[in-house]
Amino acid sequence: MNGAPSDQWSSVYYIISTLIFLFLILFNQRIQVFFWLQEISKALRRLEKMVGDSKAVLIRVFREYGNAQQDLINRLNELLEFYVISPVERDPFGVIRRLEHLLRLQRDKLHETIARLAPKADIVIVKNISNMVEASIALNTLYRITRHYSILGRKTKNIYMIMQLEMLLPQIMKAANAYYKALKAFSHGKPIGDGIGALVAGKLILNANEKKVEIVDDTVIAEIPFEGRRLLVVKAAGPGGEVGRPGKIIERIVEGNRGKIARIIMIDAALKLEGEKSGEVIEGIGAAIGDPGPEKLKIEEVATRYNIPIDSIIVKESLEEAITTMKKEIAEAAENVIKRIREIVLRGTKEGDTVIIAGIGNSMGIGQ
Amino acid sequence: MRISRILMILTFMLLGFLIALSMLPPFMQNMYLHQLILIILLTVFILFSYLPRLSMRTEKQVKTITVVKCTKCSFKMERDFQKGDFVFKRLGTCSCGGELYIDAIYNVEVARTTTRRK
Repeated sequence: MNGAPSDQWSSVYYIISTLIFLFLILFNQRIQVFFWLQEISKALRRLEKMVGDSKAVLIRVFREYGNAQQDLINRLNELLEFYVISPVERDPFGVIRRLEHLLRLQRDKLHETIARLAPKADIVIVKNISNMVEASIALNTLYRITRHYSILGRKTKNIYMIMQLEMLLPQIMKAANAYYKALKAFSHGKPIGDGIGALVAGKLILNANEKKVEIVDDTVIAEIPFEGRRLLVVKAAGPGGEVGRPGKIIERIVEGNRGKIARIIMIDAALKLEGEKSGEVIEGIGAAIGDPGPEKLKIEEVATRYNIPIDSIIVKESLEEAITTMKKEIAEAAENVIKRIREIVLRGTKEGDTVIIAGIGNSMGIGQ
Repeated sequence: MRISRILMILTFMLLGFLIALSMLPPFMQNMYLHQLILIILLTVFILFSYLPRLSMRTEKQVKTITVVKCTKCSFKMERDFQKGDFVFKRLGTCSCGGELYIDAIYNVEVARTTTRRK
């Protein structure tokens, strides 16, 4: 026998520690990928559960409004993969007009399908369910894309693909949670944070002693007097989830008044940056509207054509706050916004002027 | 306490122990102990780096409030949200003769619960 027992143990110990050391150095990246994949799998399971829950909520709502179809789940699965092919952008001429056409088609198709799936639902409920379906489509898309890159990363053993996906997970999950929570708000028809513009416009209409209200293209136009001025208040028609056509209506009002509009004041919710306070009211200029383009373009074009100043007032909120039930601090910001509107009108216009006030946003749970 | 914080404290304790050990006279130093601590440190470091989300999650419990007001007097009432409520919905006549309407519907935080992140 060579060497003392303690020497043998020290050799064994030395070999084991060297092996562990080598293992950690050689397989460091593999260990890293393993942990990343664990995180991705966990997120995927959570996303899958969210999608499943959203389907269950939609099925319950469709059944509540008279759907007795046996294959409802298949129809719902098809609906959740509904898509819109974006217009050709290589030839940008008329791209906004084509996009507007597609957006209208998408909206009509969605409403038509929902009306068929929930035959007993009235138009307000159809609009609310339409918002729910849109939130579910967003949730389903997030799940499908995350699953796609997860499987692709595993198949190709592409560490960079897995790494990118893992790094994006916090944002993906944050957005998914927001859509998931939004679904509950939409199912009850409660006002959402994005509706702050509609809320402000509604309060202006309500507080007026005299008013002339008409609804055109799912958009409310109310004529109210204020300190010798004529205010034309525009908002989406509620209380169903609707954004209306503020661009088209503002264009029509300006053209109808032959450009004799002193100012356009727009109120909308705007995404806050991290660290900023929710419900903060900020003034600026430009068309405050978060549509994909057509409505905003109409407002900018008509304002530029007639040299009309556009003031905007925004209320800061996060994505989650914008699509979930309105928070108290956001609802309370409405009075502050009305004060700012009064200041702008008194400061920037004179008696006899006509001013357009557009409360932009989703009118879910907000009437007029 | 968060696991990441425990791991951080453990790392610092081991580091301190390692430095203290290396300051001892040579005859009191133990090579194996040095290596063992190094391996533990490396393991702790890897756990610390790759398991940052083993933490607790705080969830807010919210309640939806409907605020009812009168168009004429200063009447104001807050109640729980009911299905069918929407802002500017007319609810009837106030005792002053004015019109009762829903002025606002919003969420308020009622409690916070802490659960382990799954």
